[in-house]
Amino acid sequence: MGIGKNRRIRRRLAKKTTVVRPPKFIEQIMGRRSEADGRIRVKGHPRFLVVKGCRGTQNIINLPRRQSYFAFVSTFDDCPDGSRIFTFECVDTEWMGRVWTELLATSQLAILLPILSSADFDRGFLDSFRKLARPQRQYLYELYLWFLDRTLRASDPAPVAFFEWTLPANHPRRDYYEENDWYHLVLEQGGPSWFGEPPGVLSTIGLSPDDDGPREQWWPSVPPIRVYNQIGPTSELFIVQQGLKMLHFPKSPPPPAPPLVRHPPPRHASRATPMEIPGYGFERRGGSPSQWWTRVTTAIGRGIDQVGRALDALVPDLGVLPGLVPAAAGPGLPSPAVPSLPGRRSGPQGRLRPLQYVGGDGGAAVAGQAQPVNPMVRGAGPPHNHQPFVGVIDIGQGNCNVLFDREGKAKVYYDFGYRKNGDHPPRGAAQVCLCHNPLIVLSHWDGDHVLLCRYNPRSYALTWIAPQQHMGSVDTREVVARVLAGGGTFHLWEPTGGVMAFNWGFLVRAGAAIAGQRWESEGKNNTGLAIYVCVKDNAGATTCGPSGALTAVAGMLNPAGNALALAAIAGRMRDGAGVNAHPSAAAINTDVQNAVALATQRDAVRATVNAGHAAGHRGVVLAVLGGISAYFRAYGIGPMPADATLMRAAAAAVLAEQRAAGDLELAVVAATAAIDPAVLAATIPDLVTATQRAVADIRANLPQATATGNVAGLGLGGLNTLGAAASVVAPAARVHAGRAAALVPHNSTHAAAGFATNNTLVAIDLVDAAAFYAPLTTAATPAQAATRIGDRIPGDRIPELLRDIVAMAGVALAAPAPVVPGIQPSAAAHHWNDHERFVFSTGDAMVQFVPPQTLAARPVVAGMVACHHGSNQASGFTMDTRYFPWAARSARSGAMGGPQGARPASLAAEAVVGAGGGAPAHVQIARSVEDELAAGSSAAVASLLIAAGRHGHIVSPANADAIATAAIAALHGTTAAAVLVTAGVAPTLATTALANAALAMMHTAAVIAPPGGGDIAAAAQAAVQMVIPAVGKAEQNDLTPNEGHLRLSLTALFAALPLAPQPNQLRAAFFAASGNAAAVPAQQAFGIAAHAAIVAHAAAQLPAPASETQVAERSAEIGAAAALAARAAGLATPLTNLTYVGTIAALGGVDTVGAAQRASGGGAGSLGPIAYPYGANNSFHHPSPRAITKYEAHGFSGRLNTGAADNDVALGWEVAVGPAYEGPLRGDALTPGVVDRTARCPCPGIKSFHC
Amino acid sequence: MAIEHVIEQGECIATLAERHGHRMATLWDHPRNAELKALRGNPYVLHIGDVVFVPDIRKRVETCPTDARHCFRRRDVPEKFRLQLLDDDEPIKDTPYVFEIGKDRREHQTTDQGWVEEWIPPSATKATLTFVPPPGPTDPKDLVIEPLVYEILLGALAPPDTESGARARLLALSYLEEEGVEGPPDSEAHDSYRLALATLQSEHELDVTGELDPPTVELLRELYGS
Repeated sequence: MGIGKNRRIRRRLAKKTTVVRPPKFIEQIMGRRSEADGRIRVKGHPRFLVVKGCRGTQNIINLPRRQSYFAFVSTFDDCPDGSRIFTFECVDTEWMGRVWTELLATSQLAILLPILSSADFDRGFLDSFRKLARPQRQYLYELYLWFLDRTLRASDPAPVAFFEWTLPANHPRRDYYEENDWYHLVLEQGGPSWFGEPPGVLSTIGLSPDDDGPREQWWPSVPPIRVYNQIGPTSELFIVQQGLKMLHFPKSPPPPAPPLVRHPPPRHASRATPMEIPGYGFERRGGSPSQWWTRVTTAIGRGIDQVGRALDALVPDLGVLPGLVPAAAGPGLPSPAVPSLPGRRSGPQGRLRPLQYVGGDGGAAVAGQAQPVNPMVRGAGPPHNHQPFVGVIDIGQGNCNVLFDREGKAKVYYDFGYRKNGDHPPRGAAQVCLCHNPLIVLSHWDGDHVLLCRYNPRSYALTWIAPQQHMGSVDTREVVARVLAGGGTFHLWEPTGGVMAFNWGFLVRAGAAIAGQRWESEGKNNTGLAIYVCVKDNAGATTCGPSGALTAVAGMLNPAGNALALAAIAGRMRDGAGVNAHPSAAAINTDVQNAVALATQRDAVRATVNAGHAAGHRGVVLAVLGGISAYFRAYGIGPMPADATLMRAAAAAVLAEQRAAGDLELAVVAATAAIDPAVLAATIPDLVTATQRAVADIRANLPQATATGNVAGLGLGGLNTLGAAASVVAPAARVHAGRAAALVPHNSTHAAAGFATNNTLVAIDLVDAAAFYAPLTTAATPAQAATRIGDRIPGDRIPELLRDIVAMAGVALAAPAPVVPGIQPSAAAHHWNDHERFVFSTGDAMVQFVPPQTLAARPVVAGMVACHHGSNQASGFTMDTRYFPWAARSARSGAMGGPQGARPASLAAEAVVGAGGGAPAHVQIARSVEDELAAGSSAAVASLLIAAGRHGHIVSPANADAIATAAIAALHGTTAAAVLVTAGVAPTLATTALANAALAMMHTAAVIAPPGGGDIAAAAQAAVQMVIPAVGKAEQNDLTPNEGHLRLSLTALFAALPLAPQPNQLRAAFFAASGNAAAVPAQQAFGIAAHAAIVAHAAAQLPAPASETQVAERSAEIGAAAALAARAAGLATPLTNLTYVGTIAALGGVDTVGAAQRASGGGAGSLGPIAYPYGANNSFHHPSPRAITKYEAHGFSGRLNTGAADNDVALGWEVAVGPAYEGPLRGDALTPGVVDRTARCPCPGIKSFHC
Repeated sequence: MAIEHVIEQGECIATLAERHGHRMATLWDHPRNAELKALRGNPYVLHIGDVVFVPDIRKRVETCPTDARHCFRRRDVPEKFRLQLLDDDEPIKDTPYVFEIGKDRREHQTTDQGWVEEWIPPSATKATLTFVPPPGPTDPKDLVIEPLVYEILLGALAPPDTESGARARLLALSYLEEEGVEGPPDSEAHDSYRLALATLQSEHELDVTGELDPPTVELLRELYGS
């Protein structure tokens, strides 16, 4: 028996690199590797090992040839057949061994090992991490940055591979592998392996998609086993579980140290927490650390630390370190009042929430209070008249949603995924629009929610937000490293609940709703970030945001010529010779003193403007001044700047524009600063010069910065070079120093200086930022600025708002980096009213883990992106309509017999009022009919219809009698609910309640279930539940036989309703009506629709027609009823369309919603309010077929946007111009069924979506 | 004076013989070491704690004429070190290597069966072997193969019927990724050790017990060669 000859049975575990000492040897290896050109791949065996041998006799060393990995189980998915699909994210053991060795050779084990030993790197990692002492957190944070940098080292980049492995249901280790743990994975080709492990697919990931390797089949040589987590006496010799997690898990820096004034730093504070930064910094410097260096830098750091703390105390509002930053907690915005949430009112009553999307409680937003416009609601006039929507991009298995705003710009990406496995989009990886510096939000850390960045590398320069989770894979560190290296900013939302409110809606941290559970317990899927995009807002609220402000001011300037005023403000001066001749400016000038146009006519300003020697400058200046004036006016920052101030502002804008050509931001800010009398115009160029010089100094002295090792010191030193203009630049210097001080707690305390190199780079950004903000912050500190503008606009939002002003003025600006607001400790940030509608996307979180879905008053959802399990757990959680407050084409469901209850008589009366346009005669009719209905009159509905019809306001007079006759006949022919409602068995409490219940039930059924079918039984049961308290009973069994009979009748009636795919005339009528509901208030439309629906429904319940004549009659009745409903709700709908709707309904067409939409000029048909971004029938069963079935059972069809070309889906809310329609998005008016933004932006990104 | 010596790391019969002026056979075949001989079977592979009886030196008289040169050669010295290098079970043949022992640095190449054969002092406890394994048939052309450096602890190999000895052999035969340390039966370190034993047993059609049972010991001894 010798060494095996049969390769099939020669299965070995590969050795892994362990302690590769001494470091000198590694340096030799590294040197040799760096001399080699091209990409280097190395064999999978170790470079240095210690073996035991004997003298005299035989010894053997047998080298394996395997692929050996450290593999992180990033996710697994259960299939219906019980099998489980694992995704291992792999890093080569040899590479990891080298990195580990470098770490051990250059770090202080005395610091590292206690952290590894004490911190809980298992499921308690997040809690444990937060409980670490600040120096330890700082150490881990810096270590993480070092590791990120190390992964991108050009000579030795980190290898990445994915291994997809499916274990059958009966596999003994199916339950052994856990998400978010590291395992040893040894693969070989040419299986099967002796252990019988099934094969998997290995994908090698290159530096770019072009470098990706093929997908190959490999077999695990042996079952993967978990990487050790035992820290023993020799633990430093091994890579342990803790070490891998420590390096890979994203970390944010600890909070800055308390300011000096509160907690004076102890003497030798920096010595108390000595930390040696691993080799990263040393390599950058090209030298090695030494004692003198540590002493020098420590001393420098300590001194600067104290200075920095003092400065920090002086300028407390200057933010935190860019780069990898924590998503800030509060102060954020007080949430709107939601009665069910105690403590939500954290601010003064009625206080402005400037970051809040528009939408006061019940439309009670106070006029005059400024609220930035919700960019996801269509505005009037360019550039805000684009249809906003949420695009669901077909990226195969995974998720990527994009918010296209009212300007047609892609502003936010929620998830940035690309298929890691599963279905492949036909066109390949999507090229998406990043032209406007969108914010990128990751729901969680799965690769199929983030990998699109590899195909859109510009995303690495953007601003990202992601949750910090018990998660840190190969993907994770790759993305974070590239974002930081690419100039982007990464915000980590630490594991805390709350919401982050934007003007377009809000993000909410999932998982916190489950009381008593730790963040890790539900895994990454259910502890991520969910998004609510407010696509329908409170149109009745006065909005005085920048764009509104501009319009408002324009109106004040020239009420009769808003457009003219806007044109003037926009600075569209076509006469190049000067500003005097501009007619619109003159028009404005004649009306209002102190207006911007007044200033533009003054000689001084004109001279300044013309001194720009370029037409563009004039436009810029006028735009800026116009915007500023409008801004001041709208926000009540009075009085309007005087002429002299405006002149200074103009001069400042011109100078800024001249000195930084194209930098309109600088122009805007300079002009703004100039308006403050505290800053003379003469200081503006000096400020600009000073800040530019500071930036230049920093850049020129980068080597020195590296040598000095402390950027804070250099930053201060750089400022000293401005000494000649010290008096002028003092404010700027303060800003610079404050910014530098912000670095100090992160930096000088750990003056070993490796970190300083990174900070030097950061500091350049900081100084740039300081240059940008200097005029603003010298005009007023953020706190003062906030006070001056009525405590309404946070200082850090001003540039963005000014930018919006300029944009409104028609000047294109480069998009700014998005501002990430603070985290508010709330469960939601919405208003419970009839106005707000949301598009809801959860990533992979299940709905019940998203806190707003646990509230009594939830955001009303008009569209949903259902990922993974369809955002509804396929097993173990019964779909409950309470979790799905759908309101497609409706007001909130509560208005339909919910909390307030619905009175049919009132609804009927309102219907008449609405239908008749509020004419006195109709109001009188309505009130009388209302009384009759309230009394249980059997003729109430018929009277209503006849009265309304004869007055010619519901249908044409020629048809009124026929319709009324048909309706009456239908009523008399019905049983059950219609009879109960209209015939009035007896005017008793019970029958009234039942009548109410019947109507409510129809409302509910209509809302929950569209024409395609629905949960009728649930609706009926809901109605019964309403009856019970109404008749004073405690439970269902207490009902009298008569009441029970009625209940049974109700149930039977609705149980008999035809289900999909058969037509449902009741809902057909309802949807026909609500599809045209824009012309009348929603309540009235529902009232009309409800009564028309009764008619239609009653007709549907007639016995089967016995003859063709009866068929025709029946169809006519149904059709007429449907047409009546449509007509009643949408008075502008042409009669031909009514006929069409009626015909469709009468013929039993299933596409009644589509018919209604087409009748009102809408799109090609309904796609339903759910988009499934995952491919259908993929091996991962995403979305879960059971979830789809559940949704469809409630009548909500969805779109599987994978599997065919051009399957990107749009969700949103549409208020069509022309034929009245308000409801879920149907498409552009010019291209029904499609929203297209191709013309808005020339980039190749996807901008055409179906809806 | 005769002594009983307790074996420490790096010692074997050869080192004791050289140290005390005996021939190996004198010690190994001594009746008082018969039990040890039967237990270990190999004079080069002893376990820490084994006791070896070292008898007194026996004088031997050799008569030689004067005014002539006589050559006396001590037997068993130097000792030979033999190591077979395999790459995925195939001999790494005719491959240059550097063998360093003490300050002595030698450059040779392996035999056609992959053997490294070097004379070493019996008292040496450490050597270093450096070589560059040849590329495999499927290796890419741009593969840069780094040299392998093995630090060999001479005399440190424990008998195969001990866990330490088994781990060392499993490591050398690529059944273990790292030798590791002995751990409790329920530890992860022990899991990987048992997994390696199971793999070995299965490949060679033994009962897969994951334990170091006698058939497995013999298999290890045979595969490793000592």
